[in-house]
Amino acid sequence: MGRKEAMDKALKDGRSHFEFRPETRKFLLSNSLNIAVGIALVIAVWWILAEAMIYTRGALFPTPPETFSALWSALNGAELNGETIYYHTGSSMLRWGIGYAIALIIGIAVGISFGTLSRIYDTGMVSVYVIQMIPGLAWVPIAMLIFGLGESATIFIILMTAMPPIIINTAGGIRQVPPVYTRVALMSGKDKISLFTSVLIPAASLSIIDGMRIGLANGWRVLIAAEMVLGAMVGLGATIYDSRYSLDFVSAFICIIVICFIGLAIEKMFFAGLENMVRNRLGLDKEV
Amino acid sequence: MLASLKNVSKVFANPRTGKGLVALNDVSIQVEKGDFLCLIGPSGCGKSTTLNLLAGFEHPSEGELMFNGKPITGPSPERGVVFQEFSLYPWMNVLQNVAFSVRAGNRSEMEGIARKYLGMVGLLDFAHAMPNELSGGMKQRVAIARTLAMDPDLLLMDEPFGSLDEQTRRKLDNEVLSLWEGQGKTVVFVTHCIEEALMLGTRVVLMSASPGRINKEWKIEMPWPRDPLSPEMIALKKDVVKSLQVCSCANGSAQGVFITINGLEE
Repeated sequence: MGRKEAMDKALKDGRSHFEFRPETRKFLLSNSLNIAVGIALVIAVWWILAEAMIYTRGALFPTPPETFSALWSALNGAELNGETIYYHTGSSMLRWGIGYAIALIIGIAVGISFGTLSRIYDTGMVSVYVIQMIPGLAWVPIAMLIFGLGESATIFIILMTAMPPIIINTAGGIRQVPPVYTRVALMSGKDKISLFTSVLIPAASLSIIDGMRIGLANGWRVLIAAEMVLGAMVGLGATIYDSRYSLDFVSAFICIIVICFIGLAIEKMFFAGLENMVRNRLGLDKEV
Repeated sequence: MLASLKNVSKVFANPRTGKGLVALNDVSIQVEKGDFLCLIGPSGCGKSTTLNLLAGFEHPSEGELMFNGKPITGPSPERGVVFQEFSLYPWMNVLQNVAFSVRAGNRSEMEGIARKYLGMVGLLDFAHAMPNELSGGMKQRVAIARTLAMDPDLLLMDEPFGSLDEQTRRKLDNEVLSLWEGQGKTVVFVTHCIEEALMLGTRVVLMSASPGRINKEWKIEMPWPRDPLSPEMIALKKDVVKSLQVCSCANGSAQGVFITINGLEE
């Protein structure tokens, strides 16, 4: 039954609740329309800018048709900067994955300790905020001094930029758990471990996911920059950087598109899905 | 004697602001086995603090707290609390919430015990519902089932129905009463509603605020169900109201009441 029909029937029958066929298709449609228009706007501005630069400065500014046709051949295996686009993307994601995984393990563990032990919270948080204030690329000299040029240095930079928001949100989430939740567990005679696993972690999980999300985006952004500076031979960032010398700007643009796409996919698909699932599990989506 | 406070004082002080609050000053109460003791008084008189001390969530600044002949050092399943605010875990269903507090047994044994107490509060049909699907009254009934499932010797209830409508509150009051009679438990029940206390309690203790003290106590031996309009009850209510007016708390001039206890450290 449609919304209007069901509504009228409920009013007529004097019932307080009614159900109707959800209008998922309508929402889906308007959602896809928003996405399409948003992307089209960006491409339009890009195109205008490209033509203007070509006209006024004679620059080799890649236009959207040029770039997308090159992207198509790259997806079909054409090499750019000496490797396939898949290899570049894979190496970037591997670095990012390793750095992020370490950030997750350390960040959640440290966040939980700070969140539970109020004695070290104040001091600990100051250190974390200091680290968070250091801009991603400012870690380059520090990474070079510790690891020299190369993979470890890149991973270190990802780790240092992804970790602070994870710590802050995990600790904050645990501190914001309503005291009554803890009291119920203590009163039932639960030990520390089940207080954590059954109460504190589920209660703080949305906040922890928020931290993971910000950390992931931080790491992704700094990865590209770090690849540029630290002399990686392959990777999306390295390819963008190399266009300075090779003047292969089309390849650089292809990499930019891939970076945007991966970032969006992780944010909109993976994290939005994860958050929905947890919200559901936590019973936060109230029924009408 | 099941539980007692002997000359207990509780002081909260915030070292940052230099402000302190005496929540309880020299309070002594003895809770006998089988009592249904109602604590009444204006907000800020230390009713909830008294309950938190008995529960073991707070520690006294001075004085002695005993339970079953032993000093109270922390929370324990012997002393179950039904909280004022909704306290069910929203990520567990009703059955899991109740089973969470069962003290021992494997999973199916725990669930069996949980079902027994859910049945007692009339919510067996909602065992698999999530807390956000329940009304406020149902949530508090689940909370009662959860506390009963711990099989406590002493049931501490902190304005459990304060946020519910009048009709639901009366209904749940009667349920608590029959559970208390049927289970042979001892109850300490905090409320700010005089009539609720008179309808339920075998003892009614009036506290006064700033600082929290015991003002007066009444023993009520009338059988249940009690008629709030019977001459005895009306006389009793008048007496309580009179005592309430005599104490300093009623005119609102009390100092310290405006300092919230949250955020203050002992």
